[in-house]
Amino acid sequence: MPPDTDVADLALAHHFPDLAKQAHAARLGMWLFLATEILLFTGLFTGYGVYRFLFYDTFKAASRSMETDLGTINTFVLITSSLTVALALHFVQVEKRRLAVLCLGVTLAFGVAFMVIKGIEYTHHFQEGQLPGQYYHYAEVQGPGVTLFFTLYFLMTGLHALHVIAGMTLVSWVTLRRERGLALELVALYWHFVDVIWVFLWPMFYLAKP
Amino acid sequence: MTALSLIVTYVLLVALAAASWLFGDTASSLLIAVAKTLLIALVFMELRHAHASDRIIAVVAVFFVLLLTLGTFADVITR
Repeated sequence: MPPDTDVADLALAHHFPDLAKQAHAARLGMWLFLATEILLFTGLFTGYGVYRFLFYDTFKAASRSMETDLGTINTFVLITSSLTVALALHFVQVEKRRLAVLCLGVTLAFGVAFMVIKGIEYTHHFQEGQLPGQYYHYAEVQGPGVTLFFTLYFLMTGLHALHVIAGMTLVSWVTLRRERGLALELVALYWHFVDVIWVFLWPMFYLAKP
Repeated sequence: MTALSLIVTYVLLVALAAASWLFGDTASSLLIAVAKTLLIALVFMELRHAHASDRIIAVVAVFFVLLLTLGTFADVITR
């Protein structure tokens, strides 16, 4: 645990002997929660991997039809937002509150940018007929398993987008409440997790050069 | 954690992301993704300074990920 995080503003719950143990329990709970989230996404990644193995050529062709530039921009957006949220926690720990709030604001702006870019990308998919299941009618990529690719694409990126929205809500919450300790640290952990998921979504769906 | 170490980590992450984009194939990009995840977990999520119990959870989660993926692919590939 980061030793510098301020836990003095916590209210001590009656079942903890001191604030340090209460903070440790909160961190442990957050890591357990993230472990369950990792397993949720692992199931989806494994499903994607199996279908990619079974329908290799079609999945490769479908990957090539993706908007790699937008996916790449979103990768840099999320990596940068991970830096800003880590800097926010650092500035809180060194008592530079204004810089911390600025970093949280920038993190939120990057979250919005990610969602806007994702929205643009989804709009293009809808217009071109790259849709899941029976709604798929994109003529340039056909073959067995192509609808599965887009079903998994919308399922996994959609679930990830919901996590981004949840993360933005939490970042807004800690910013508005002027949280300076443990709450911000836990929210930062969640935001980094959201980044990590995208780190794997990006190569699986967008990068498919031979 | 100093601001400098965070920025250096960020530069490394950007460099790795750029390498993924340049290589462009899924296999090498996934290996690079693992490296990026390690950097994010150890530095940004401060796992290297975390309490032992938090680190155990992270390691067990990775073990379960490997168990699920390797077990599934072993089944699919050998059919």
